Amino acid sequence: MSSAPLLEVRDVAKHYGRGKKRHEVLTDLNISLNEGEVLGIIGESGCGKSVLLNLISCLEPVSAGQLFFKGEEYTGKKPKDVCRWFQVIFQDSEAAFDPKMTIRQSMHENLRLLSGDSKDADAKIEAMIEIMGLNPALADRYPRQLSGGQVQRMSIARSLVTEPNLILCDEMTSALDVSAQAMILQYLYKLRQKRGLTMIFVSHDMALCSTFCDRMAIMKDGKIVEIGTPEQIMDHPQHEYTKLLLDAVLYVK
Amino acid sequence: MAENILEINNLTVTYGQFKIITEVSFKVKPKEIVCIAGESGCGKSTLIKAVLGLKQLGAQIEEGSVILDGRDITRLGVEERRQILGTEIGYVPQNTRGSFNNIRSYEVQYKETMLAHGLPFVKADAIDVFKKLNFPDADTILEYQPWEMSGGMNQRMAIGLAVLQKPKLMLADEATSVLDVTSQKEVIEELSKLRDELGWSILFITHNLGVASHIADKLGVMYAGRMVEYGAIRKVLDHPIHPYTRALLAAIPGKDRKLPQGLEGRPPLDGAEWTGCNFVPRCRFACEACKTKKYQLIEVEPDHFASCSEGME
Repeated sequence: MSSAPLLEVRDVAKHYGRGKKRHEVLTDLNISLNEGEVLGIIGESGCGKSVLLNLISCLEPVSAGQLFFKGEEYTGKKPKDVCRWFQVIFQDSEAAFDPKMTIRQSMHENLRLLSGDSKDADAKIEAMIEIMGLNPALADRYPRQLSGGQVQRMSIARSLVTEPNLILCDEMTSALDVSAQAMILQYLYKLRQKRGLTMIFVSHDMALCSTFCDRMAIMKDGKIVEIGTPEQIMDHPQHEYTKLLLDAVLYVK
Repeated sequence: MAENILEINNLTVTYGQFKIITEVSFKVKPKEIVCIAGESGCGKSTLIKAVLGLKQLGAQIEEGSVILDGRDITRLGVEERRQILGTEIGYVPQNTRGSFNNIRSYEVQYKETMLAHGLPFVKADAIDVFKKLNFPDADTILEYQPWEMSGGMNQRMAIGLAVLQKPKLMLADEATSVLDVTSQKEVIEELSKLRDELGWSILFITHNLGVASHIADKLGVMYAGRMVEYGAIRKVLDHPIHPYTRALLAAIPGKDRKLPQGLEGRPPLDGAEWTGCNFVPRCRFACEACKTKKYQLIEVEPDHFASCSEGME
């Protein structure tokens, strides 16, 4: 089936705890993501955005519902079965690096796993670090020896160096300065035009999403309350919560 | 009361051999909110620490002075400084999770803090402050413990505690950056209300120019330890002069939904020695003269200073 969306989340729910302590995090969530599309997921802390990415990347099992990749169901698979399909960029990137490996070693491991051994791995890694606006010499440091923003950019570099087709990112640029954020978005934009790129872009920054995403989904308490193009969401919001969020965006006056 | 609540004159701060702040000067007048904006590592937090006292942090004020309400506090001893912290200078840090003991009620902790600063604790006053600041459950909130609160509420309790001590000057270091957009907006509204109703001055450090544009009267933009532009907020935002200020504004996602413009390169390493302007490697308008030009804030119009006006028509 060639018309199937690249990624589909069907009626997915997630809860933690049982009985009295049962806590619903996500309920009846449906998302379909076409090849080449960038979907922004926006919501406040605790709305379940990060859990959703964990479910999609099989880091946590779903409580109900199904997941599809290119039309094939993969619900219940292990992370190692699906890790070749996409790259995940986590919010807490220091925790996403092995503290006992230098950044370079971590990146090599990722590259080797996904595209086998290659002679120019070092050159690729250094070029990508340069694109992220960092000094390639930092690659030989350990994660704890870098600042939060530097580790974040290293983790983006580690993902992009494998030339992924699908990227799932959780607050990818929230830890960064605006100028670095803009640089990375510009680069991703160029990548999209050059070879297509599908992304789920989880963020709390509506203004940022509206510049970059094809569609935006607004999440509240584990549900998607509104989904649409940036024009629809930003100019003609329907749901009360979307309006509330929009009202709280502080543009530079 | 002196003419200025806070005067920072020609301040240079170093960590070991690294120069973090170079020749920064500005003033905070009574009832004024001054925002200092800039990117990570530009020295904005060190600036706040220079006002709070740097002793334990390994940093040293090399030159210049910090004057609080007419009194030089640049080199106060530990005991003298303790007397002005809290009572004369209030401080709201970026992450207040570590500021409270998680499993003791706010009431106990408020009381302790006030006692430590030699102030009486009157519960009714605290409730009054909470009401002024629009806290939900103002009457009962003191009975809660921090772990029961969201990050945003905890942040506001820290603001409440700082307010209760009636400092002359509030220092807020990225006080809203960890909050959700909706609570961020509320906290910002509370802070400006505080200024309007109680007449205090606030020095607000942020990397978010959107936040700055909503509360500040004056805006300073710092780059790699130097103040590159300073002035009345509308003048700086409407007619930015310094190439860095303009680049920074272009990097912010705006209402027009155009992809923001990045700024190539990276700031100079901490403490690198520079002759001339330190923005040269990233500046589109840099010329030979810039490499040797001496740093100086020039008044371009009343209430608006910039260290460079290269590339303006």
